[in-house]
Amino acid sequence: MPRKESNIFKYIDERAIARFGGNPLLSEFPMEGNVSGHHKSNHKGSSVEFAEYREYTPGEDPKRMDWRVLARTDRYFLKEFEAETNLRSYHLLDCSASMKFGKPKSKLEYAKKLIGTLSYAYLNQGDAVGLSLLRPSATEDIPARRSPSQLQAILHTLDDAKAKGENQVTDQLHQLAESIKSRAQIIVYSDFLDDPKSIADFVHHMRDRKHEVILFHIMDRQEVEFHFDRPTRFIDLEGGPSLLTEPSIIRDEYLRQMRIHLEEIKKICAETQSSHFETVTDSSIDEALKDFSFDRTLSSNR
Amino acid sequence: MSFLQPIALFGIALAAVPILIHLLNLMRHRRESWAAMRFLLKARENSSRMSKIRRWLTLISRALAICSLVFLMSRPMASEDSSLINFASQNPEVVMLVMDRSSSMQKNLMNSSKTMLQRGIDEFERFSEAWPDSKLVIIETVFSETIIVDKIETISSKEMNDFFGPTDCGGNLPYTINQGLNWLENTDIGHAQILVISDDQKSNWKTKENDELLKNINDRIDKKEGLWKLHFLKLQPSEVNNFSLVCKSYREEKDFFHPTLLIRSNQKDTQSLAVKININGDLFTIKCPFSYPSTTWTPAIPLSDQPATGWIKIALPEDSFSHDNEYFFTYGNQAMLKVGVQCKDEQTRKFITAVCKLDPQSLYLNKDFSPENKTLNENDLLILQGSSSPEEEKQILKFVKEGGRIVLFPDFENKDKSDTFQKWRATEAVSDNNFFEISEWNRNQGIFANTVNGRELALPYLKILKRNIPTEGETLAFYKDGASFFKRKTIGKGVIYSFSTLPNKDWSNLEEGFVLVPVLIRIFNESSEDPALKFSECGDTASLDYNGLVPVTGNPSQKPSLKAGIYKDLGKFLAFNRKATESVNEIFDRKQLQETMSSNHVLWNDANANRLSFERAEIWNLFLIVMLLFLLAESLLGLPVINISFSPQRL
Repeated sequence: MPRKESNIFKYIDERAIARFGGNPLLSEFPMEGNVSGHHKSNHKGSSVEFAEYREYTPGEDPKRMDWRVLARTDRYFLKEFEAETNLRSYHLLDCSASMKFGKPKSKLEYAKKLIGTLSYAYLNQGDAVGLSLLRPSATEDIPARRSPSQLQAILHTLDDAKAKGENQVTDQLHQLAESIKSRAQIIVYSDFLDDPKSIADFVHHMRDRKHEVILFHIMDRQEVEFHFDRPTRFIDLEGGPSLLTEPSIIRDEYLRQMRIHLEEIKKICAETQSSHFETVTDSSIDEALKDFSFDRTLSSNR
Repeated sequence: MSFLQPIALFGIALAAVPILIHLLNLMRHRRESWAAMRFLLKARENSSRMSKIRRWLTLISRALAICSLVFLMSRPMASEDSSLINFASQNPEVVMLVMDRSSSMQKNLMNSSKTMLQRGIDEFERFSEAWPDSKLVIIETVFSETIIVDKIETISSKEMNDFFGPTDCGGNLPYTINQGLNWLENTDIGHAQILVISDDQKSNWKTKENDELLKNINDRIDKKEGLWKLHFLKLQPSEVNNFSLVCKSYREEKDFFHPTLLIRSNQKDTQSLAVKININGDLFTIKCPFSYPSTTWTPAIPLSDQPATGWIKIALPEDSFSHDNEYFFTYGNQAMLKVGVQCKDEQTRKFITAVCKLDPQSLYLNKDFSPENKTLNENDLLILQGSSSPEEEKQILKFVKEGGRIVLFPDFENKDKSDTFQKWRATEAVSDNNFFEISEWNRNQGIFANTVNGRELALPYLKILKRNIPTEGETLAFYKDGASFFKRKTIGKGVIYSFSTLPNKDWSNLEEGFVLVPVLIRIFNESSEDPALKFSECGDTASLDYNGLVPVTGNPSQKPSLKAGIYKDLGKFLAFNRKATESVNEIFDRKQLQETMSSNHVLWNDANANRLSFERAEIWNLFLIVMLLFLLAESLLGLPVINISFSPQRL
């Protein structure tokens, strides 16, 4: 069945690419790639970046021996350089019904644009990019590849993605944490309305598996500010009980609860050395990626 | 507190509007699909008590703001009443003004440019404002009759000057108040507010003489248990420079008129006053040496160039209160008793004419008057003997009915007897050497009373040969056989005296005069005592009875019952003066009255020059402030406790 070619590239934000396209998006942790790349590896290898001196052990390749040190100290030392490899960047998109919320753009649509833009950027610098759509029933995965055709596959999958079902995606996240074998960068796009404890569980799980975890916390402006002028019946998008209330009365408490929730997520991320980026759907993609890009570029100087 | 527009209070129901809107809003809620339900559910669970309180306070603030607006539109008035709010049900049916309309009320109120009467009316206006739907009833001291007015402006209008305007009369406040209460009782008025305005002049209250009446008034007010409330408003006159003039007596000589005048002043000064004398319109001035506090002065006013009868007006120089500066007199024969005589019998006519000429100073004889020449009404007393024409009788009867007096003697001839004035029996005559003797009469009082030195009139010595017995009226002297010698009969306002015999030798020895002279003199005196013929004061019964007098001085429409001045009635001048007691500026002690009228429903106020006593300012501004406060409270309660605005930021 021929795929629609028409508008899949709408998920790539040109302004963001123009703004950050020249900056390397580097991982904060060593990655295990199969080819040479821009990212630190957990192995030493041949590169221009000096890593350390190490005493020579018989049997090792004498080509890496530092003859100048031998001349000065009469000892055999090996001069080691940082190995640089590519990374596997997995983009996990929450496709639960709550992601349907948002005006004029839903959280899901916004997340798709983020994924599209970042996928393009990573593929452009030679990294492998994979995509998983998190649904309560099952996940739809595109394994990480660095081939140019990967972008189209990702964009098509994004285009077909729909938000539905309950927000019970943490199980899928745990499964993914297990299924991704080697170290990888895992970026989760979600509104994170789950219980903070379950969020903490999967972040810890990911980190235990040596993955770098980045949470893109996507919210709608109305969710954030909660401005309603008259009594409203709130109907749960995920099929839960509805609630009739006077929003102006509970607004303060609602915002307090949201603040607590955000702080808990931030705390989890701080504990696990994970990254957490909050964004609202009415902000531009380049603005949303500004901090992300800044952090990734900075990683190269550490 | 009372309301000028109590109907607007129905708007209080609008206070339910915020509650209804709240309920309607809940019913007409919007539906919103929502993702972050976990926060909503938690927020509702944890919604603090304070939030609920704030919510209710907001609703209450809105409702109270509407209530304040409704009260504001009802035009609330401050009340001196102890109760906080007087609702429409407490509105009196009648708001009554008892108006002291005495002359002294024309004085200016202390520290004010308004007269006390004007100020009293202003106070009543304020007083009645609190009950705009109540009937306005006014009773004043001159006529003591209630008048219902449709609006308060009527009191001050010129057309109603005769009823509410200034007067030169005195007054009897307790009587007038009692009359007012009688009216309330007779018209079954359940709830009434009564305001009495007075300067508390002693002569108009006579608290000692009226003590019983005042107690009775107090009891009547008390019995009503607050349904009738009596408010006394004391008006205090100013003490600025004022002269007053009162006549103590006067004496007429041939070419001079000598009034004895009492001039009082509150000015501690000795000065020469230029007193204006106006005789029949001719003006001149006489200097009067005056020394504080009062001077008795008897000027000699020349009458030589003046007509035989006329009037005099004496006026002091203008001062702060000019109503007590004038005094009016008449001179000439209008002060005398005018006696008209018409006798067919010559002897009788001669005798009566002779009797009338005994005191020319006080009696004016109109001999052989004729009703046809229209001089009848100028007489005060007619002496008639013999029949008159039916036309004459008709006019004489009218004269009697209007207050005239006649003395009748029987007709000499026993024919064509008229019974218009008296019914006569047939003429009786005695046999030879016998007389009709008089045996009984009232020796103690009346026309046949004993003389000043205790002597009986010589009625038993009368030798009456012929008699013609009058049958109508009260017998004042009896013959031995019980028949009437003399009768007194009243017709309308007038009196008819009837003798049963004639002062003629053929009839009796009355012509000897020992009985007839004193009896006629006493009839003259009795006629002279008619108050209408005396020196009159405004507001007296006599002045109230006079209708159709033409004023010679002052306003052409003024009336003797209200205004002092010279009036003319069929050629006769009449002087009406300001009530003499009005010049005695004695104010009674209110404490004494307060002791007598101790009911809780009798309230006492003093008029103040700077502020109206019953001024009940509209207190809408208070409610405006209250409304704004509630709106402010509502706004503040609507504000969030902490202004939380979310700004995305990274960790």
